Amino acid sequence: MRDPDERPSEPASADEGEVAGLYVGLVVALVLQILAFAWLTEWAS
Amino acid sequence: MTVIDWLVLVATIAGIVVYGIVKTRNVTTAAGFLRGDNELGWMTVGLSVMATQASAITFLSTPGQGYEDGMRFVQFYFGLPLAMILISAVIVPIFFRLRVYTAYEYLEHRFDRRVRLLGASLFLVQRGLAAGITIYAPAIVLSTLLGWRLDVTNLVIGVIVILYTVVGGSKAVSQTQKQQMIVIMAGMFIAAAVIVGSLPEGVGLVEATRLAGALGRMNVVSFDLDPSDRYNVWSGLTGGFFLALAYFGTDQSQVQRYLSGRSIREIRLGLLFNGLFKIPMQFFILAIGVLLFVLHVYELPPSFFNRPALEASRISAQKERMDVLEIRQRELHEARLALATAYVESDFRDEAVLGELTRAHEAVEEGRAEIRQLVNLAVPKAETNDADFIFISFVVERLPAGLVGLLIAVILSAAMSSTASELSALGSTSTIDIYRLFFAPEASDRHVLVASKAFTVMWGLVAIAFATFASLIDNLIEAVNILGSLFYGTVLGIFLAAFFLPFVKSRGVFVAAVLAECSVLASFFFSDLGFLWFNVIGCLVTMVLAPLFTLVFDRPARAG
Repeated sequence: MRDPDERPSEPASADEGEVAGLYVGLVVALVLQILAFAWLTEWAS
Repeated sequence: MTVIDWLVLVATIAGIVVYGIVKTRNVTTAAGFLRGDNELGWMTVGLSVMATQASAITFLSTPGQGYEDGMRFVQFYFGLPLAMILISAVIVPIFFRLRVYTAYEYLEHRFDRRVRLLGASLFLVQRGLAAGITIYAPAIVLSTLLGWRLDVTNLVIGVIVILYTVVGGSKAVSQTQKQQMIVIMAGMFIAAAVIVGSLPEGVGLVEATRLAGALGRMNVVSFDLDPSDRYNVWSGLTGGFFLALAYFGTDQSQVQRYLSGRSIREIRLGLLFNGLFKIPMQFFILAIGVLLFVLHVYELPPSFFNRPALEASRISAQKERMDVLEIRQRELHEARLALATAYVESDFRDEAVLGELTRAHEAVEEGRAEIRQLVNLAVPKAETNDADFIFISFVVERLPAGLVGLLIAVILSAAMSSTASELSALGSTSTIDIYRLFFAPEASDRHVLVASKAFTVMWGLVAIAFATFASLIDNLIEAVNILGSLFYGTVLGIFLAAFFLPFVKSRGVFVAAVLAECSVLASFFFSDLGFLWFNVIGCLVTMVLAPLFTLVFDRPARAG
């Protein structure tokens, strides 16, 4: 069933830096979203 | 529905299905059927993951939830981006490099066959039931409102999904989901535009938002720490995180979607895409419900959104009482409208008017609750929680010809995209983790392919049967989430112990998981705890007890 050649191998540590930057970006986006929602809740109430 | 609506509906659904079948008709290997030959780029992975989670329930129930309860449900998704990061960083590389077909295969690599079977079984029970609800939820609403036969609607949705899932497997699921997401988002944007365009002159998005806020619908976030409160920032970040981690990290219907990715990088980008856009998407769908609520402050809404049930109660033994309540509801609506208009004209400054408006609004809500009770008395078999009918009632009654067909296609597309992922995952788990493991260990690739297709058909028929005999449960989206929460925590605990507690052994984790599941079920039956916390309990009990039981059962023999 499992053919070792059926999937391309991953270059070791490839794109790790880029991905780490995206992780940080996503956390920042989440924090900004929550802050925006908090502001919206306050403004609309 | 008009002829144009039927044409749009049939053309949209048939177009997507034919596209999926034609594009994937040459799938002839198990790897192609179960994992789509690992050809997907990040955008398709991301859309496929989003389409799997966003079922028809999302588009029927969520606007209703926004209408009735405001925006606070969006907090449920706050933990999702964090879960995407952890899954991308830790889980994806392990699954991808082990070349597993299912998440549960990994459990045998890490522990033993018994733990793999436990994980796969919990998935099959939970997802097997949920697949029925995924079909039933839109079918009951559409059949009630449009006069379609429920059993035929269930059958049509189920058979179409079985058809393309069996032909093209995982690849067909992903390809159709991309088209389905485009139709879904286009349809929802059009619906939102029509609602905003229907607001009275002088009431734009800003005024509508402020009015919704004054009437308690803009409760987007709450920082109050209350364990019994289902939706606040803390339960969203913790419970939502665990639920998302369990769903995306251990549920085969999601794992199978992203394991079709071309590389670890493409999978990670797809998951992060989901993490970035999921919250805005849910916010938007809830906001449609809130805007509809504001529209109904200006325009008299139906006394009850399940219109056939309302009509039936108008000619029932409760007719006279219903007449009285409906006349009073119209008067209450007029009173609220006058005060809302005055409050908007005061530029949201007149506190005295706001006080009166709040009281008038409460009176309208109480009146609606009374009508709901009376419908329940008059037509006991009718669905009295009419929140799931709010959005689709607007679509059917207010949208122009053609758009009604498109929006019904949105609901059906959403139902089919989720069901397809579920059937594909149920088929692959049954084949790989049960059938091949115990009944056909030497099976050829062709044998596995045929078995996968057969199990996919079987689970499709089970889902149709379950949908046909199910009865509507409170709020559909919550029912699915509660059902998920009963099992996800324990499964997640097993996987987290596997990933992060290297000294934990198989017997220890197995006994811990069984006890954790008992704790979750006890909490569900004997406590008032919010359901998001079940994920935390199941996970933590498994992770705390697994090392202890490992010490008891798997202690290495002492020398001498």
